Amino acid sequence: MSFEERLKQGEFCVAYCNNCDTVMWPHSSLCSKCFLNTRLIPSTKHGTLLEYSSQNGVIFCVCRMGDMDVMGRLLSQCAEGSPVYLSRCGMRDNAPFFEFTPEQT
Amino acid sequence: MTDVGIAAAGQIKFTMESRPIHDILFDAARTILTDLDSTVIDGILVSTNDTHRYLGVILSEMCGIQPRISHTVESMCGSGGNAIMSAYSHIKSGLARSILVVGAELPNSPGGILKWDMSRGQFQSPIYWGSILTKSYKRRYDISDESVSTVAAKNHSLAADNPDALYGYRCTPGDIMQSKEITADLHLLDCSRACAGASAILISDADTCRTVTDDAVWIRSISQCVLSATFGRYSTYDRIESAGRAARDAYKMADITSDMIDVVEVHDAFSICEIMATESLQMVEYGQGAAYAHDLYVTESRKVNPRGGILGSGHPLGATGISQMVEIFRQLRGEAKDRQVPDAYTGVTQGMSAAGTSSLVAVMQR
Ligand SMILES: [Zn+2]
Repeated sequence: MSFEERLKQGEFCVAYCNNCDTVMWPHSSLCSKCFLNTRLIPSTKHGTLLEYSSQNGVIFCVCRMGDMDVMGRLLSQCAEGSPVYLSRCGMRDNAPFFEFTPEQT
Repeated sequence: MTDVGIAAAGQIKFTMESRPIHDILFDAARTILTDLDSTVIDGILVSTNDTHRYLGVILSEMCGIQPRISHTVESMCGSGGNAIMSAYSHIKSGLARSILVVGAELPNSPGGILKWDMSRGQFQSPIYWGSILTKSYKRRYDISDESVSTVAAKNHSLAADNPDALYGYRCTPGDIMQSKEITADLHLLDCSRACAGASAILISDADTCRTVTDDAVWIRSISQCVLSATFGRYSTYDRIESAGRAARDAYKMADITSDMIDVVEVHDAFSICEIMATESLQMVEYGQGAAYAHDLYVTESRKVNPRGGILGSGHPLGATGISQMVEIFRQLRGEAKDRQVPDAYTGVTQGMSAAGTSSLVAVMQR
């Protein structure tokens, strides 16, 4: 299944290169370091809130998950630097969407 | 290798009017061709995000020129700067002697959104990265909304003296903050507006420059820095790293330091971008860009974005980088009329694409 097909099913994947242990985000079928084929693996769901703003009550944010940053919706407010997890993702109107929730502490 | 200069430059007024893209390109080209022996031109480059095909060659035919080099350059908001860089390189290498670079865009340009960039999720409009950068900077340096909006007040006010600007009215930071709230960190007038516009510039080798004019402006350096295509590869959201790196390269190549800059056009897609750009260009320390913008505003200085920048002039993507250089050309020749910076000798442009994932800096001198 493709990245988009797995995302449609609610699974967020990244491209991983077995040969050089590199993660590619956005995903790519070839590794950007050794140019060999990659495979899709499920991403970590845990990250840190880097920054947020809001529009009409919708909070949008950038979260760092491992070495990669993802923009998504933050479902309830928390401070920058707080741990968050990817609670939902998918495709809507041919665009990906990501939703983050603050981790319970 | 020859020196490379700007022999002529022109542009048309920016509007919200939608017209065929080749017509608006031709209108800008005419501003140069009317007073020029067109046999000196052996290259025509077009910069645009428009999806029409073969525009460089179509424009060549419309201009009655059969050039040795002609193609279209697209690199989102930075397309114009990239087209100038291509022309510069062709001339330096000897492939061409004189290249007409024409940039144009229409209000409904597809160039504002990079669909490839999955890291932006559903938040694909530029207002979202603009908000994240603004919030991040304000938080890092404890800067108020009003401080940020001073940039927009300054640039809209400066555009009042630019007859080609889309907007142009004198206003205050308070007026900017009274405009519609787009996000919690951006007001409407903190955001540049996509519009119709076109501009043209003739880049030539030294001999051709001297044939065309006795008052050429010389391109001392031009440098691009590409960090990524993806917004989610920023390491920090409170500065534009690509602009800093491009500036360091461009200053080294031109053998200048930032204190030699008399006038600069920076890519103020949002108010925060000018603050970050003046820091990246080493005109002030990191964290001092907002205070610097405030000083420029209260002293009515025209040193930064004298034409009103992108906020005041409008943002026809493919034309923007060229219009920046058109302004520096006019400033260095003392032809900027009501917005003239006195005794300007060294000018700089800074453009960027896709949330500052890449930037281009050029240094010009009289
Ligand atoms: Zn690899």
